[in-house]
Amino acid sequence: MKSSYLNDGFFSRLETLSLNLRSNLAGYFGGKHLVNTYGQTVEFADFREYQLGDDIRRIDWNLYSRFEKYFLKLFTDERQMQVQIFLDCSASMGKDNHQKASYAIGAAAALGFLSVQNMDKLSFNLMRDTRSENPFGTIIGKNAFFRAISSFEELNFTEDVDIEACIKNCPDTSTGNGLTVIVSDFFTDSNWKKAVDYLCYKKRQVLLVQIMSPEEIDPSYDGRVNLIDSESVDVSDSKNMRIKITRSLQKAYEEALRDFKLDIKTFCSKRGVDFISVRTDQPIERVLFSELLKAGIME
Amino acid sequence: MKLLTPLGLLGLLAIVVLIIIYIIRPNYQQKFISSTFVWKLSLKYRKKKIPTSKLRNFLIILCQILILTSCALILAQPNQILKAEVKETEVVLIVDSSASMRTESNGETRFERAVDGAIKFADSVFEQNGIVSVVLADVKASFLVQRARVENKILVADALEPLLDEDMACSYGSADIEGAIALCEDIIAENPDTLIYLYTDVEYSYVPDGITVVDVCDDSEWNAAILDAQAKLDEGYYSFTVDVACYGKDAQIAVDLEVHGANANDSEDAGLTVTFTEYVECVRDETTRIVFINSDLHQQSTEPSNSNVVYHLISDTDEIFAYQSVHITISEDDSFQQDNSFNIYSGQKEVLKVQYCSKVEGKDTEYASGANPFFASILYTLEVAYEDRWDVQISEVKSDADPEMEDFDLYIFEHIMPEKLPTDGVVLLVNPRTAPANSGIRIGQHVNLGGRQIPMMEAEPHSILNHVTPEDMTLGGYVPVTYYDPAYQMLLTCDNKPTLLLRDDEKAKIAVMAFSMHYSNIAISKDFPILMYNLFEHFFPATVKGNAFEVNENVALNARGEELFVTLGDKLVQTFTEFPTVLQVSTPGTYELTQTTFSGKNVTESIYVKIPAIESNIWYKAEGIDNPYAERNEEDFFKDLMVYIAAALVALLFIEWWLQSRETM
Repeated sequence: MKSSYLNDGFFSRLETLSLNLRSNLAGYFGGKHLVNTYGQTVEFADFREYQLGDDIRRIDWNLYSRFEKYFLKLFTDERQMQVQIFLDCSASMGKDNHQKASYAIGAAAALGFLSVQNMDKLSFNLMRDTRSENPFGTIIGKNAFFRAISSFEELNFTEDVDIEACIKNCPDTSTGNGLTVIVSDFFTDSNWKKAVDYLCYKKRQVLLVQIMSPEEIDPSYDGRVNLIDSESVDVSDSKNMRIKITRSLQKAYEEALRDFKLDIKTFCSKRGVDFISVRTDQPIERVLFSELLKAGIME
Repeated sequence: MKLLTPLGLLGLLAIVVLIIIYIIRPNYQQKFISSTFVWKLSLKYRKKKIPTSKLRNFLIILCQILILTSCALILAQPNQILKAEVKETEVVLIVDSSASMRTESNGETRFERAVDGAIKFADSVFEQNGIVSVVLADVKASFLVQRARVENKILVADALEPLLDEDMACSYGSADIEGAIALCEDIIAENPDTLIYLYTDVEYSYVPDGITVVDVCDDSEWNAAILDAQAKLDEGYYSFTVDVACYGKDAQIAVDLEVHGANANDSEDAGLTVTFTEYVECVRDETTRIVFINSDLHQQSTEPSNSNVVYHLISDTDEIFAYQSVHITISEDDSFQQDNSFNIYSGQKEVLKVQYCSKVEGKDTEYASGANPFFASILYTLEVAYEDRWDVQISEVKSDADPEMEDFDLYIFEHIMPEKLPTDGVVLLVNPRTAPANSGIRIGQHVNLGGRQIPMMEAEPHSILNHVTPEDMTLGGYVPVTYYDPAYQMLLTCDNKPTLLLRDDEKAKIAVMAFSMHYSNIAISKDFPILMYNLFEHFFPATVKGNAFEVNENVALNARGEELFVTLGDKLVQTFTEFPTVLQVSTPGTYELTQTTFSGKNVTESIYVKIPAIESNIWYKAEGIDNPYAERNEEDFFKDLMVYIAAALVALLFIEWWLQSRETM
């Protein structure tokens, strides 16, 4: 599948942006993210009373002349984060709706680009069935990034995905050292909430990006229809539905979708998880420049 | 409810088509979507309602079936029967009562055969418990019996059987068949299956369905008839024209013409009785005209010869210049005797004596002198105009003679008035210098308008002023009438003074022209002869115009006296006191009109009433009979339910649309 978003123009517009991750993350040495810990940068952070064992070269003698006490001058620290992007590769994400697939790939690639631009370590985890594949390994630097995303064009969306299993089974979910992004429509019976709880437990900053097509938000069909789920195995699959879509059922659909999104939002807000829901008929720039900025993920 | 077009119910087959469509139509269409996850969630959100969808589906199908049924019913034209359908046989028997039905053969008239046939047919209908109505097509058609059922069959017998006995049952005029058919429409309005049986002797070229013409003629019947006869005065001598025909067979018939009171000198002279006989061949039902004419006049005649005209030349010794009556007869033993004779009257004109007295005193220059030539010429003009009605005898009073004061019908006094007016006739006073004692007016001095001409004005409408334009008549002077009796009517005025007064009551008949013709343009005006003609018509109206009429014709009558007696033979038919009036004659024969005029003269005039000429043709063929069934108003029987079903159809369509719209909600 060829994504219409992965081109030079798209990435050049992202160069002015950067990810704004939380400062309580630990991370690794050598990054660009300011953290709460004190380090060796030139940016002043605080003063602290001298304690035994401290380097006497860091005593602020000007303060000593004024207070006749020893104070140390503290500076902020900058760390390198690990950004993990989990992309839902289930059939519902793009088997029959290529726009939705392109949109999901574009959003994942954009977030990945922002992370590598901030000298962060990046990994793309493609969720399939109960496992998450990391075909590109840890990506550091733009060269590695562009090499990785070039293979996105051959990405296939098939089968069902168990998000919980995929994330829990992911071997590279280190603790407190970065951002985890889950790009999905969350139209799954698997308990993805446990996966989010797991990530929170691992003290990772979590961002959920829900991708929905306009037809999913406002279905335009009615009457007696046999709804064939793209993730179904055959016609007799239990995922398929034979229903008579009436106006009342359409209203019930709208209500169910609204409550579904509200449930995700509530769940996320309780855990300090960021959540954005986008529709594929919106320009992807709007998602990046508006929704993510609004959520504070981007600056 | 009745379906006028039952085949329209074939439209119900559409219901079968509808059911087939329901059976074969695809139930669900496949729709490939990303995920049914939200749809499954939405099922929990769907409101728990009463499961009306099945009921709605059932109602939709029901509505669609009813819609198709309504369409089929509309095609079938449903109608509500408003009147109870009559199951029994119903007939209307029309009996033609025209004069031709008096044609007799084998001792029985056509009318008797018709009545007898109607009685027998009515009995047969009653045997089938039918309904019978009887219409007698007389001068004016009328029901004898209306919708009699078997329990009232005596009514039919009571109505028809007397017709066989009464001589007057059959009329002498024409039958109102159209009126009888119109009466049948009332019966048809009640029962559209009513059959009409017309017992008549007329052969119709077109007979509508539902009407049966029962021919009551006998092939042996024939009729020799006098259709019309006239007397014509030409160069002082009468010629007589008689139209005869023979229907049913070709025959030579003898026509006798008897002139009674021929060439009598006056009313007291009985005159001669002259008889002429002419034999004519009547063929092919054609009318032959016999002209009894003076031989000299016949030679002068320029009329083209015609094979249907036969001339009977009257010798010089038998020339007729006056007669009392002419009796024309055909001596044939035909089947219809009522038209075998004919009478002509008015061969002697009544004398109308007029005295014109125009005197002046030579010394008096204020008045014009000498007899008035304009007036005299008008009188002689009227004499000629009325020569067919009156023998107007005008007497001019010489200047050295005194006017007569009695024994004239009209007295005209101009300028010098008598001391007292005569009372036995009509008096016309022109330019009265003095007022006679019993005139009821007073006269002033003559007024000269000094060269001015003032037009006269109409004061009161009156028949005397018919076709007269008073404004065209101007006066340069007049005689002022200072007083006039209230019995006078003021008809014309000039300078607000009366110039024409009229009195017409049982005491006096006086007209006053209060101006001199020499002071007026009236003498050269067209209005003056008209005025004088109207004056004559008012005071001397013709009792009757014409002397031969047909049965059932309205005869206009007038009189110069207070009463007019009409007699037929010895029988007094009617007495009239209001005039003008109308006499409707229903029996042929000679009617005598007797009156006593204002002047006291007893005047008797005769008219002859004959059978209508068309009735003499006893083998008459008519064009057709009006179709009474065509006039039948369906709304009287059926109420069209299409509007209601169409309304129900619209309602069903709306309900079906509403249910369909609810189905997707």
